[in-house]
Amino acid sequence: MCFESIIPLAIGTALSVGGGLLNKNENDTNAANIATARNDVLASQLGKNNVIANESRGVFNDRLAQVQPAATGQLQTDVTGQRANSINSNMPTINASTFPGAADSSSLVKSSVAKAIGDALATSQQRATAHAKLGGFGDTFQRMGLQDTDASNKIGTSIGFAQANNALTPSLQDFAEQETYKPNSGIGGLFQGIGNAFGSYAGAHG
Amino acid sequence: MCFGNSNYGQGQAKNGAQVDQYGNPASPAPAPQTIPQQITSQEDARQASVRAGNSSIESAFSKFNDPYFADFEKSFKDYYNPQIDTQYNDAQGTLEAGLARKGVDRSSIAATQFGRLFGQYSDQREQIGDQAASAAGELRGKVANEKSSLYALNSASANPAQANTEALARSTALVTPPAYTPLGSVFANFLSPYTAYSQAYSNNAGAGYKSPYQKNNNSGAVVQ
Repeated sequence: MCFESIIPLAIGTALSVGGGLLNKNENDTNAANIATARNDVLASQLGKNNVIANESRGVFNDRLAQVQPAATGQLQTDVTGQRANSINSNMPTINASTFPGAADSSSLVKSSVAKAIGDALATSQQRATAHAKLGGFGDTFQRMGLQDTDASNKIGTSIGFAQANNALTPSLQDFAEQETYKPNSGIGGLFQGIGNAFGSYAGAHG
Repeated sequence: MCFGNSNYGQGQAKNGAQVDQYGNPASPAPAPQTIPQQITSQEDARQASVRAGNSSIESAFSKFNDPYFADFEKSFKDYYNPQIDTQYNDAQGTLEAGLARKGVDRSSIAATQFGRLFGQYSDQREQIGDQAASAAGELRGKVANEKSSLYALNSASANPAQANTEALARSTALVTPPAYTPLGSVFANFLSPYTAYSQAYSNNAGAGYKSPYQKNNNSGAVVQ
């Protein structure tokens, strides 16, 4: 190999290697920019969903506070009281003087009537108290169910928002990629071509 | 072009600034959005619409509060209490008559029976109060179901105007009173012995007719 062929070969090799490195560098930069753009979109969508998730978490935490033992006990006390009020306010009042024959009966009969209806009313009131207490259990769980439904409505709406955001994310990432993508400058390829030409020249005169 | 300016209603002031058809300065046109911006803004608008629809639903259903259900309970009682009161008054009369036929209407037996009748009456009133509370709870459940349906509908349609219309329609439908059957005869069992006694007493043919002029068992006598 003569000296005049070594120099072109060395130049060709340097240009080819340099062009390859330049291509690789541009490809890496492009890939990194695309990845950053896609990640930015993802971060943006996750940020939106995070706000939605915080709303849902707030609704759930409020609901969770409502089912703590103290709150549940208070709810049961309240609804049992409401049912007891509904029942007790509907109980009849005692008025022995309105009974048939009350006017011309003996005092013994009158007192017997008063005692009999008093006893009957007391029995009914005891039953009313027990009835209200029994019904209070069902009322408590019904109210809790209604509170669950209300929370579900709100969280369900948020879930819909988050799902829509998630569904849009791939498309938005693709758009971001398209906007970020830049084709290679071609300089690296040009260097590689020139390097190949030098190599060919060196081979022809070697 | 021979048809003139195609931007009808818009013009140009002498200084070159764009003006609208009334000569007022035209607002600058918004910068065109990119497709991703259009997508996100449309989705944001949809979510805002859903939120607005939910607010409309909450507003329409706000009338179904504790006073509303308390009023419903009262209406329930107002429907059934007069029926039970009337039946009780009638039952008192029937009991009084039955006891009088037996000659014990002014006795401790009568006192006991009136006490038992009053006990049944107060039990029935207690039942009505309890049923009123249960009916109000059932109505609360119906309201919640309707509300949930509207929430789902609103999320699906993302049209707050439609959700508002539906909410008003359904909340109006909810206030239509359901059919409640009137009470049956609640004191029938208690009074049945007395009514049976009364009927049997009325239907009793009693002893056959016996002529006071008949002194023996002969078939007849000839008056001469």
